[in-house]
Amino acid sequence: MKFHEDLFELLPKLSLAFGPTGCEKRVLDLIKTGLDGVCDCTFDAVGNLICRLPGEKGTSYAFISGVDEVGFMITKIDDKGYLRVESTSSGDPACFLGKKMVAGGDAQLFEGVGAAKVLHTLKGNERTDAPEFERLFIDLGFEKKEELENKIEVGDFAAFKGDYFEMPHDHIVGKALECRANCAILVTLLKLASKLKKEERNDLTVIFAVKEKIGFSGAVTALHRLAPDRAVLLGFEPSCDLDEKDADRKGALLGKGPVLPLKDGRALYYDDPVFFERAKNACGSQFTQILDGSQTLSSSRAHLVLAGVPMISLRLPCHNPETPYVIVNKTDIERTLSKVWSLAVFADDDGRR
Amino acid sequence: MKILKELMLVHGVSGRESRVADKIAEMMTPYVDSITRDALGNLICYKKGSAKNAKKLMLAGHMDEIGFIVTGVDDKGYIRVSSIGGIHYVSAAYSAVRFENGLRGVIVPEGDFNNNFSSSKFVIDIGAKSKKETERRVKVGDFASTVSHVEHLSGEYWAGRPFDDRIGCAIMVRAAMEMKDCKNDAYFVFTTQEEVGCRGSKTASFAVAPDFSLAFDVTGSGDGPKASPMAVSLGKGAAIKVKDSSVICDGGFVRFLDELAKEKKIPAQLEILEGGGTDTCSMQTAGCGSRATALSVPTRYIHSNNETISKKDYDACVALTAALLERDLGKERF
Amino acid sequence: MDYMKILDELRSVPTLSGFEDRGAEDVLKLLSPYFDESRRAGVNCLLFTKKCGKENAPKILIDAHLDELGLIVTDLKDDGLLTVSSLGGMDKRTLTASVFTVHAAKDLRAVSVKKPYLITKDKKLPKYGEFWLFTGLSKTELTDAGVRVGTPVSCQRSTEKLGEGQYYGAYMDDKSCAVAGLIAVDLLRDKPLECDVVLMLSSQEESFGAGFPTGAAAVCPDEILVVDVDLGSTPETDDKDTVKMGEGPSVTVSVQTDRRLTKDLLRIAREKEIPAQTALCVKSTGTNASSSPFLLGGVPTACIGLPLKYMHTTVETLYEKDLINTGKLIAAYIEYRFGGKGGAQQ
Repeated sequence: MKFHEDLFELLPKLSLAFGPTGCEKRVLDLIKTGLDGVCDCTFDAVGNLICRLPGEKGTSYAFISGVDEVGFMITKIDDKGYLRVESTSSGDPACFLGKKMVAGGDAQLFEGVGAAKVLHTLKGNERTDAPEFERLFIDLGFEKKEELENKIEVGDFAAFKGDYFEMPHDHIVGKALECRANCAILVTLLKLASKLKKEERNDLTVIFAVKEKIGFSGAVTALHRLAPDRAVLLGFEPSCDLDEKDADRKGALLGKGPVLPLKDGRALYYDDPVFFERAKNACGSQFTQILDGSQTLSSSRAHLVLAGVPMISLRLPCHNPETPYVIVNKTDIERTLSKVWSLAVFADDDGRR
Repeated sequence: MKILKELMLVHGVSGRESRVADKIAEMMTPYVDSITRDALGNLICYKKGSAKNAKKLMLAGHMDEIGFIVTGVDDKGYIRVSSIGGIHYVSAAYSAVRFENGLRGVIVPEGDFNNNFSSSKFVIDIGAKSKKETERRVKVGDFASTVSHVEHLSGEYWAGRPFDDRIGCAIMVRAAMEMKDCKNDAYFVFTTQEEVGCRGSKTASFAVAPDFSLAFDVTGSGDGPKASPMAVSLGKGAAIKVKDSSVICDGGFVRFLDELAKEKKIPAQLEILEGGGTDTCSMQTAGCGSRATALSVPTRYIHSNNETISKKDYDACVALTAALLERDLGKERF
Repeated sequence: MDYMKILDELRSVPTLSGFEDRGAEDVLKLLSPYFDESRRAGVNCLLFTKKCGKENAPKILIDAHLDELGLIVTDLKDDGLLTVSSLGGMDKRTLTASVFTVHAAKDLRAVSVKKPYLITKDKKLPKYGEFWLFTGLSKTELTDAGVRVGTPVSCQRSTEKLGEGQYYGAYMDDKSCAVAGLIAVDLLRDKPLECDVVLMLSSQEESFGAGFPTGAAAVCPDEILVVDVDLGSTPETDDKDTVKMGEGPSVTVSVQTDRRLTKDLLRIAREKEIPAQTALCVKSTGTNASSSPFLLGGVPTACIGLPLKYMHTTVETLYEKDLINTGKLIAAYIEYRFGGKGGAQQ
């Protein structure tokens, strides 16, 4: 399989950029700069990046990906300059200690480590229970609170520093890949679609949405304003091979994606059978259909926007979502790109407007 | 299986191994240069090596088995006991037991079983009518164990007790019989009190001060019904120990044995046992230390009345040990 | 002497608990230039001797353990994932989504994977058997690469600066103390001594302790200074359980260590104005010193600690000044006790 070079050149930059939920601007700026001269990009009132490529093939599509990574908000700075944090979404407290961290707001970023009290002082259940966030902290190497004045304050953010590297058989490991890979796919889609004439493509809007991790609020509000005919949500699906008992999610395997779920919790995608069938056909054959997506994509509220927006979701199989070392496969990324491309250009002429 | 069966049917709970030692001494005499016993009852059989500047190789298998010790007699004539070693209470309940002196009885939980895993809730019933009668036949400090037996299941599978660790002893005896040219100064040490803390091997190792050590014991397997995951299976050959809960074996020695097995086409597998200690660690840490590992026989249902093994693995251990004895460890590089 | 560079190089050699022999050659090559003799002894221990030149001279042993915590492969699954167990006591709070190196015929990078928190919302820490190592390779490829049951696995290695004067990375425990011993030997380079100084890098301190007694038996020392990292104070810790960071090495007061030796160390620190603290570990030091009461015919042993934050994680953090002062304290004691021309030795 041939891989789009520019997609995989952009991806490490997106992966390593600092963009925890609530502080996504740096990542969005990176995307906006990358789309200079390609299409019209603006920030909406809540910070989503909306990219427009008008088209006349018949249907208006909104392709959506979340941008934010799992992160923390700084709740306190103690006398010795240690930072106390709380997870902004569903952060795993067992994935904190020992991880390199980056902290800051809109200005300078500082590097440090995720820390907790030392192993030997853990008592009773502390040895087997995951810690509470209240017991965790970040060490930036300062010695006094005063040293942080005008540098970091309560309400600023922290996230994993992470890393990006390749592994055998086209696997890649990187921070926040579960959403940044989808962002890279959509950037590439815009670049490719911008080369077409207006008649050759549907009317496309790509929403790089903020706050995906807290209910996809960015997507919900953007859809409310844009009211497209159809929506395609790009998300992720944890690999099922770590648990033989998971019959429902059977099929989400790295290298065999993307995954097209029939429903996502309460969002029943197949309730618009015409679109769903056409979308499936447009997707060709190389994907895995599953019954129910794991509720990692907060799409149910997006589904109910306005009078309802017909939508499907394409999910990238991955290991370790929402950690500094998410594992995905390049083949799944390429296939997802070809599917969104097909949807962007196929004639959805059921007359539903 | 003849040697193994003979050894399994001798009574020898930890601390009372002399009968087993007598039997083994009888078997080993034609094949070694000297046989001695030490203060703890360890049986040390020495065979001088034929190589120049021969290295000291200590082989250890423990003679003792788990069992019970009489602590008293109750008013009804039932015998109160304490456990020696890690008793498998589910298996022991309602089993036939045999005392050192040949007396027979049944060991039972008092009242309903109720998962009471403690020797204080068990008594031995010898069918006496009164306390006086019992006291005429046993006294405090007598030793007993559940009855030994060996059954052939089918094919290569055998069940019985105590494979732990008479099979280790049998491997050593057969290896001594089969070796053609013992290159190293070999100390075949049949140790005591392993089940209560690897005690015999500590003193024996101090006295021998080996350069290389090899323990022989049973190990678990991952192929029993709903067994804890373990990469070891019955029938896949001699298990070469990488690590257990008391020792990390010498990496080079493990590799050497693995390659020797491949060379001689002896089936072998690598073993990590979570939960379980052996004489290996005593031999590794004696004095200035020795390069130690163990050859284990994969066993299901360890410490129960029906430990189950594959004869293939037993034979593989014998073959590998005999092959090792014929290698000059002073010359090998690992 | 660029001791931070030596510390980085020493920590780049994998010497996992029980598997120290694999790194022995490299460690010997790295450290022997600083000593008169070096050899292997006991169970996978390394001995480095600075001789004083006198016949039958007394010997003081500085012990720092060589071994590192890690994981060990227990099974190769059909889907290519590796099942692992612990080698020494790894902090379970650091096992989720971490990068490891599998030391097969060549080193392979691996990432730990488990069912995501997003779905399980598990309030417990992962147990061995509930997470696996992903290498991207198939079972056949792993076997061809030499991965077996028993293949050791280590954590990611690096050395990073934290703020001003602090350094962090995996395996500061206990190689930083080996470097402290090296600093001490360097400080004593031109001093006349009446004793041989032996730096022992002992094995298996984190696992079964086979190294210290067998290595010490090969030396038969007259006194032992066990140097190990100590629990540094951070938020959430109690003062009674920890020592302060940046305020010098700790000297452990315990029933397991020698009272006279301990008092001498504290007094020398005061006299030479070397910052030092007392660490109270009444019943047990939690180091190799704990097995010293039973050693050989009896060898007076003291325990010196290098304060370290976040012990047993990949971000173990020390203060450079504490490292230097630990070396200074060791050297000052040896000079006091065994210094030539009027030293205090009996």
